[in-house]
Amino acid sequence: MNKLILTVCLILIVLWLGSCSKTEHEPQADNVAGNDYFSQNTKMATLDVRNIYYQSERVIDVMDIRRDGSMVFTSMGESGARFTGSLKNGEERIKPTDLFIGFIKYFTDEESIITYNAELEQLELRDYDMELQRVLVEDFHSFEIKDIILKGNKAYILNVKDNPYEEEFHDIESDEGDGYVDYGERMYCLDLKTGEMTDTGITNVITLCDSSDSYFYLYTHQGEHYQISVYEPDKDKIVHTVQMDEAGYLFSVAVVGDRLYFTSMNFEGICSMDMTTKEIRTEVGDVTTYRQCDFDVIDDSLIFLDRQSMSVITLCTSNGSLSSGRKTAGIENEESDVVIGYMDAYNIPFSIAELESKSGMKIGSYSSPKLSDSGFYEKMLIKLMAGDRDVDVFILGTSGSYGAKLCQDGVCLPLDSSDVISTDNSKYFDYISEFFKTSSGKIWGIPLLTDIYVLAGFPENINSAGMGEESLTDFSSMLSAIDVNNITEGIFIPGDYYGYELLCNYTSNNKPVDYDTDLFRRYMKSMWDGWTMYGDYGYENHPLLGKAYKYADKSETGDQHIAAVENRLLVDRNTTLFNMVSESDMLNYPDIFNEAEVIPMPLLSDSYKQIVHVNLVAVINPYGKNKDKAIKLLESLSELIRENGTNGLIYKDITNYGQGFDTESEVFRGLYQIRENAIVAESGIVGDIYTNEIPAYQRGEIDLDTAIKSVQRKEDAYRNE
Amino acid sequence: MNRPKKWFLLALPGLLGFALVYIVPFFESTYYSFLSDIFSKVFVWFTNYKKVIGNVYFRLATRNTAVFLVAGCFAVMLISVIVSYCLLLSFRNSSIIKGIMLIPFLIPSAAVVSAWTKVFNPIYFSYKIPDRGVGVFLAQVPILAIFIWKNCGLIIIIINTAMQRVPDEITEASKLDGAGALKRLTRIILPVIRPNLFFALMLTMTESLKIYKDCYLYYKTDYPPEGAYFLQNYMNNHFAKLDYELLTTATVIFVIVVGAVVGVFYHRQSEGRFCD
Repeated sequence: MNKLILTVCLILIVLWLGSCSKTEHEPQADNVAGNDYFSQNTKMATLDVRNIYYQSERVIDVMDIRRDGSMVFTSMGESGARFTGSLKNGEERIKPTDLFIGFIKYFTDEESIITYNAELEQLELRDYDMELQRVLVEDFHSFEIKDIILKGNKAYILNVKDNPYEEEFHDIESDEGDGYVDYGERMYCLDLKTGEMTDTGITNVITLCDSSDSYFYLYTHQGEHYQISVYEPDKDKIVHTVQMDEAGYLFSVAVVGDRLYFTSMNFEGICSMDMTTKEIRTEVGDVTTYRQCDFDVIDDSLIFLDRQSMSVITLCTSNGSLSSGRKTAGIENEESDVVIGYMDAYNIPFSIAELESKSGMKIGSYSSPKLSDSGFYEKMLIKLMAGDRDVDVFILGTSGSYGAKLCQDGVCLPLDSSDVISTDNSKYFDYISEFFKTSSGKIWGIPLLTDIYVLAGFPENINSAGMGEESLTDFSSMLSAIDVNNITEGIFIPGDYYGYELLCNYTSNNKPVDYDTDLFRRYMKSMWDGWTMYGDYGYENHPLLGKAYKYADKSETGDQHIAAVENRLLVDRNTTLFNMVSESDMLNYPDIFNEAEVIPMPLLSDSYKQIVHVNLVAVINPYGKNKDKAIKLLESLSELIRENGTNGLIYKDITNYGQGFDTESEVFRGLYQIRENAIVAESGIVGDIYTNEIPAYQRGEIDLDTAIKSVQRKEDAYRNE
Repeated sequence: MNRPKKWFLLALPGLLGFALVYIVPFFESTYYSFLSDIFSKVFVWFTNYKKVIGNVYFRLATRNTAVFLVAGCFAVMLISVIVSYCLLLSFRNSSIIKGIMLIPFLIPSAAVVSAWTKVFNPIYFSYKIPDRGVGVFLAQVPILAIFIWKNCGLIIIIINTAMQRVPDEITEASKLDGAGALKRLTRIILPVIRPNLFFALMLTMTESLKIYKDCYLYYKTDYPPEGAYFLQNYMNNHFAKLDYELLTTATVIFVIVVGAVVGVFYHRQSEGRFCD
């Protein structure tokens, strides 16, 4: 009897396991078998070859690919500006421009491209020299153009008119729970001959997807259902619809044959769905694409942009391939001179291609495709400590507890043998120079990214509000001045960010840290007492800082809010008193900040020094295969970073700053003065305090003495264990 | 004479695997423990040992681990023996009961700890227990509860199975001689199943040394209250700080101490078995 029960149970378990596969679903009844709209290019029903087509030296924002294999793209550049570029067989065809291009697309078979000029808010037709041919539409306001489909003389534009983060929008986890987020997308139709723009009235369109026939597809969310629809331009209407709730919210879509290829928040990598049976399978697992323009279908190939590695990758059948222009780049690093380990293309403040050009070396990258983002630094450090030889140059942060080992004990190759690096090190401010030396005085790395928080303010507004600049000498006087003068607008200091910064500053200015002080007690009481809640970036909840802040929609999360503020920094010149901003923001947005004055961040005590965050460093693996080349590469990198100015204000001598800096500007001078007398931040157990004691104290679960006792105990253990 | 050779050949793949995965890395770690750090590789003899043994937090961690090990093993073994015997008396050979017993062992720690935080408020045990004297060990109470709940089931199954194998003739005969249930347990069953008890104890000890994950999930910090700061906390923190020489030194000391304890137990157990 027992055996029988056991056997039945086993069978049930096997059946259950077989049925719960994430990518396979039972066939559904409402299929579209035999439908002509989903039966083109059947050759691509199985994708089994993966080729690296092109590995970008830039962070690509929008991409479009022609049949001949050339590629046009816009990319994020310095100072927030966007550059466009185009490549054929890896060679640049279109001259980069400093126009603020929001969207770019090849214009059918002509030697021209459609661009969205974000500054003038118009759609334009340009030639390959980026010379304006004609304006297609004027006064076309767009926060984001998600895609354009060209059909004959018509262009169908999926546009997000206004910044969705400024409006109340559906939270991913809320409402029907099907993951739909309404960003306000709307499809417009542009007559390319007459320039007449009409609103099709079709909303809730998630993506558009072209076909090689006369029609195209819309992936939408209508009436609480996801669906793919076929749009006939000749009839100006949707002619066929298939429900797609199995797929959910999709980022990029391509229809080839009877399969729908997509990326989504519910499935990893690129998946495909049989439109008849609704069976889903994973095509490529370890890639990230999240915009419709990341997908392109040419002949029998699906071409996509992998945003982890910034590589354009071709998927095709074993027989089919792009007829021209394909090249295989060395993602396996077999031919590279030096291999750099970094988190992802967004994470590094330089372009690999620029560095290759400067150093004359072929650089291989060891990035996210091989190591997932989660715990990236720890994994890299474990590789380093384990004597792994794969990576020659590591790009790491220093904020973790391992930072001390990197800095003091020198787990990396000493760089003193390089005159370039030694000379560079001697040019840094003393505290930066010392930071990059081990306890035995050897140089262990070079700074790639450093930053500091300051206030960007308008003294006349501060004075007219009754605060006076003297009230910004320390945080107590600032809070007191806000309180006394009953300031209700014009100040943006996210309480939680500021609280963290103050705590970091306190620990960096006091070694060993004594938390049982009047100053720390005052900090806890002033900063964390009286908040109604904690955990959702509740800057608006701080009794004083929240009251003084009146710019944005309170429903925004902290990150959205920061992004919004960065986009419209000091938007209201008349009412803004001061905003908490980073040095890099001030340097990168000179147009926005040129009228503002740099004010040092009010600290717990006016005797404390401001702290510089060393966010990213480059070090050499002592076990690497190419140590000499790695040193040469770091020399080139050091020079490149200095020229680009991305490592922040770290040089004593103003003449050392590259062309990227306006050393005569007030902003530069103000930042430089703060940097002159700063120290390097040391976070220690700040993260731990921030996630344990502070929330518990804020919620009233523990009193101040208990919080201080616990924090001190942790600090002692951290220092002495 | 052929027999040992044959057994050795059969065991050889396992021994090689064990050597490759455990013994060789351990000796490499031991080598690191004599170095200043793994990059400069300066041989410093016992400096790291002096540093680690002299460190107040290592001693604190060792004390807490020892207390937890004794308390945890004692509690689990006691509860398991009692429950196993009760099961033997009432549900002899019930596979459903055994299946249920295994469930806590199979549930992931994250889910277990999340549930136990509803029973034991982490705020109380993190901040409101005494910070000196015996009171500090109150911080171990929630961890101990999680440990007992997770491991008792498995140990009960092991002990209960062993108890079932005790020949009925012996217990029946003792019944006729007037031995009560308690006497049968202490005088007959437990001595007979001593090898199984030893195995269960070893398993419990091993599991008690793996409690770090639950401790971390419960207290959500690298630095739990003084009474719950275990050797694994000490080692993991040094791992995060890349102090591998101190980590390996602590590991070697730990292995020596645990090896000695297990050796003593094993010796006692072997003596007992031979006497029987």
